Amino acid sequence: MLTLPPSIAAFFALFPLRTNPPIYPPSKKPITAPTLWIIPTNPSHSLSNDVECLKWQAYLALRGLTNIHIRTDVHPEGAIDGRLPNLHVPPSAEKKSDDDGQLLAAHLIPAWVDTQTTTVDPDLEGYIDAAARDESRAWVALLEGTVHAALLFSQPSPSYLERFLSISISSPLSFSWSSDAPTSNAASNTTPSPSLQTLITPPPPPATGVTSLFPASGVRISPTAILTQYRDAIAALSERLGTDQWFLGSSGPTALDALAFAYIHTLIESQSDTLRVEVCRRVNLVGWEKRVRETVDSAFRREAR
Amino acid sequence: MLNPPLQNTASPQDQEPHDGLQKLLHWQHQRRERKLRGEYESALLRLSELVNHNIDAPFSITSVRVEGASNTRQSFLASLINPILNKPATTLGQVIHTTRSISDVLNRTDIFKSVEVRLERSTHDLAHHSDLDLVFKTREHGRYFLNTSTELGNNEGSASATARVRNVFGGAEVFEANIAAGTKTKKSFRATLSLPLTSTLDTRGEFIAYGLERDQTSYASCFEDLKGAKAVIRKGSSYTGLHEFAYEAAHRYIGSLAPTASLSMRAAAGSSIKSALSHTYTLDNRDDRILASRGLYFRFFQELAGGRLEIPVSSTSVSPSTGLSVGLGGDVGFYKAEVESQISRPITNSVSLSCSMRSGILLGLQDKSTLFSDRFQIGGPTSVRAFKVFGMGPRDSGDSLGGDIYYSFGLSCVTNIPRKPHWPVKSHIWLNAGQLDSLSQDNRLRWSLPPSLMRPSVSMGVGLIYRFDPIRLEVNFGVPLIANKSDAMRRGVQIGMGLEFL
Repeated sequence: MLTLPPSIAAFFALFPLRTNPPIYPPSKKPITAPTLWIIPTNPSHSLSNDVECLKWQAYLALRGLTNIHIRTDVHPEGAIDGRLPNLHVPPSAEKKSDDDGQLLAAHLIPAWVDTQTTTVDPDLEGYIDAAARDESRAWVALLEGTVHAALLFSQPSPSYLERFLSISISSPLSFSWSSDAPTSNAASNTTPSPSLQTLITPPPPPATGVTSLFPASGVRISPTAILTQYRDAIAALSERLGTDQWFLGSSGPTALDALAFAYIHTLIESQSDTLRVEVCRRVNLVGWEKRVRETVDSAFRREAR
Repeated sequence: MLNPPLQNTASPQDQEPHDGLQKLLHWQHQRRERKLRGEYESALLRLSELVNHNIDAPFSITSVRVEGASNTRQSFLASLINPILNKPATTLGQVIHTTRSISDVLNRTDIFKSVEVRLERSTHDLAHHSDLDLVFKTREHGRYFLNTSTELGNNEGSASATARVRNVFGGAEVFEANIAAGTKTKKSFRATLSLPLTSTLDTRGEFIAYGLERDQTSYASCFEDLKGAKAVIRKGSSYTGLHEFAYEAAHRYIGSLAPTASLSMRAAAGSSIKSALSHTYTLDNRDDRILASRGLYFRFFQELAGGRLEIPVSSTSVSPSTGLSVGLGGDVGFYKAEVESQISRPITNSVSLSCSMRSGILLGLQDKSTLFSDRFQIGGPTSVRAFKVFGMGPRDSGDSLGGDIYYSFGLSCVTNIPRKPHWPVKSHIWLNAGQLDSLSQDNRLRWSLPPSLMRPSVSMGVGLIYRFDPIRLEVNFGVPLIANKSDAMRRGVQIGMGLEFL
């Protein structure tokens, strides 16, 4: 590392001869309360249209935090690793001079929540016993696999112009819920996004190859299989919840409840009749979603921008 | 007197050398050239006398033939030549003037490598002996050009390809496509179709499609991807005044943020669509665009993007509360104006003074704040020297966010290197000043000027200028004299490379 000779450094230290006040960014405001950056919400409530963001909204609310601000004007590309949500927290007491606070990626949110509220037992994670904790893993896999695949499959495929203009590929578990009516893109010979291929169990077979002159390419996804699995998943979810207050008979909300709420709420708000009807016909799921929604919605308020 | 045998009997005349074969050959060559030049000059003299004596003799043009233009449309040639022939030539002088005008317009199409003209007696059966045919013998340029290049160095590799098709549809249209890619994920493409719009060739139209990725990590922790299309109409020349009217639609995408990106840049990430009309006026009569010692450069640019105008409609079929909304579309709305000028004057034979000024303003419309992609940035070796590239104005955690209003001023005294006036290297002493800030806007589209504009940042220094045609290279040693606390300064040596310097 080259260092300046002391005489030159002393000469440079003389300049500038006069220093004017700094020029501040015009729209920057100091952070005063924890603010969750999420994909835009409906104007009627503060819940995100994106299932990944909604999952973390539910997590924060069900852990008992309230008065959390939400910010919806940040594009996912502006988030850490290009994925929302991010949690912007005020500076700690000993770092009051740092007005910017700290921006946390989604996976760092639980650790921050632990510093703000009572810590959950790390062994049982809020479930009634170890068996329930292990069972929760299966439900998480079902929701993030089968149900998520059905959600992705019901989305309209982007137009050619959108694909031409788009730069980054959406992360596999984060997507925007379009208000447009789903188009007839369910043809099994269209190449779906890689995220959809990885979610389907068993993995879909190639579209061509065995009897074709051309090398294997694309995948053949069966819409019927996806919807059948989805119906079974929702039926099982409804049956498992029964008349309990929380999933798996827990005495309080758990991470599984946050995840289940995110998916059930998104499905109820879905533009796809097929997906929505399957949930709405289960009274216990609809009632549970309504009760949790009030809790989650009341924990957030929009930030004035 | 009686001479012995083999005696040299030569009697040199006209300084004929007699002491060497090479000198003799050279003398003969010069003598032959002198003779030919004399014959040519006398022929030219006789021809000009002949023309001058018959300048008012009655002659007329019966037809114009362009030979060798196999790839050029006849209708295009007619559109160039017919307006010139509309004023009929009745004398030899007018015929020659018409011939020169046609030859000039053919050369200006840039289709032909050479244009030779012959005046022939008309071959038409009913032609009078004073009727003439104008025959232009032309050779067209090659139509296709392809160039590929690869470059390695500075830990970076890049490859580019350029294709050009001249006279695409036979009407002096030029299509050019360029694509380039580098290892540092920099990529760009540009396709341009240019065509003349008027028979005088003064006005040209251009359709441009482009895409590029700008690496802005050094001052804004992000990459910017631009894809767009532009339609341009140009009229005039920069020496006498060039007007450029353009419509541009562009998709801008701020992304790939660095992990250390500021919160302001994170808020600026995402895409936006600009739909804008612009006008540019350029006047440039400097003696040298890179290192001017005399002349004036002036450029005025203004752009209106997405502006929406509400027009009330009083028709009976429409309720009074409704109206027409007229706008350019896109999701940004702003008016932008920028002026740039430079005046250079020689003081002595070896010293010249150059004074330049740039200023700009960006007004957000429709209650929308301005975006990072549209804002101005100043600072750096081609702007206000002794500051880092785009290191001035509003900044957040090291990221330059750009501003809505700016000015910068530069004064340079350029001198030759002592005893080496012919060198492309000059020395200069410079003084720069500038300021960049944001405009505060209320809900009624009223803007207030920031007080910081009255406190410019100032720098000065000395340096060397190298005229590295077609660009200018500068090595400067400078220091900031006055600076804002938020400015990113560059004390000491700074190297600049570019076309336009302050």
